[in-house]
Amino acid sequence: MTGTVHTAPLPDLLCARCNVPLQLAKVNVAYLGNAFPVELPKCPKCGQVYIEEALALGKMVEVEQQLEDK
Amino acid sequence: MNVSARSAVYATPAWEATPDGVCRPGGLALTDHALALCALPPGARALDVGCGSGAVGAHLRDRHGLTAFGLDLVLGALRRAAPGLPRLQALAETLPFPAASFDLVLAECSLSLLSEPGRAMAEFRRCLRPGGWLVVSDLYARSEAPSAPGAARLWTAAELRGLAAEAGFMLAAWEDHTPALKAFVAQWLFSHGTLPPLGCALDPAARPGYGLLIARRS
Repeated sequence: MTGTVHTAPLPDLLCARCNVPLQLAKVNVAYLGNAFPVELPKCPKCGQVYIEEALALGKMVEVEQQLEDK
Repeated sequence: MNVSARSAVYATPAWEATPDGVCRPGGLALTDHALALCALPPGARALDVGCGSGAVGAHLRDRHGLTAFGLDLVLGALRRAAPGLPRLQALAETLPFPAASFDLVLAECSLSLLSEPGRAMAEFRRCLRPGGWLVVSDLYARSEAPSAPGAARLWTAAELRGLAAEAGFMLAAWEDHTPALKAFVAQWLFSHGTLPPLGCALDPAARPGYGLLIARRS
């Protein structure tokens, strides 16, 4: 994922590496063979993007099971 | 007649929050592709079944020079439709139009939401002029394996083509657009944090795909 446009800071979410608030930023996500821009929390210092556990381990797995060609 | 509760998924305002205002796999690009496969004269009359807030109808009028009409069950979406676009609330299974009223009927991601798709197909045929075009894009099963218990069963491509043939249509084209389904689901997932409300759970056993059917009234 890449991205540079930072908007509102998210004080409740701190980067585990840099200890600074994450900011919503437009990032390019590559997923299921597609690339598209979405807004996700991102560290303004190191660029690490935060994806909620429920999304990463729940919905993403569900979608992959439904749509990925094995 | 039963009104399908599944059509209520389109009452969700989030459906309209896409860049082109079209909430289904492929967006307006797939509509443009389908129309390129149909030979329609300027001013041809088109009916968009499941028109929602009318983004496709406005596009047919403004980009393709067609005379567009919209039909949907969801009144809230119809009320938000673009000004100047004729639209009405009605069932696809009982179209309130005289026979041979249209040159094109589109049912994009709406046929699978209907309670009686076979009856709707017959109505599409009745309302089309001889030689008129039918464009259907929808979910379909790429596998004939039995559905998981409790999962909604999707048509196979053969069943969908059969539905059109039984209603008196001649198949002009069938195309797989499953990559558009994957792109749509992936983008929705990251934008909303949920799976898109497609009207049914996607059953992995069915290997869900997205297909485009183009047929002519015989």
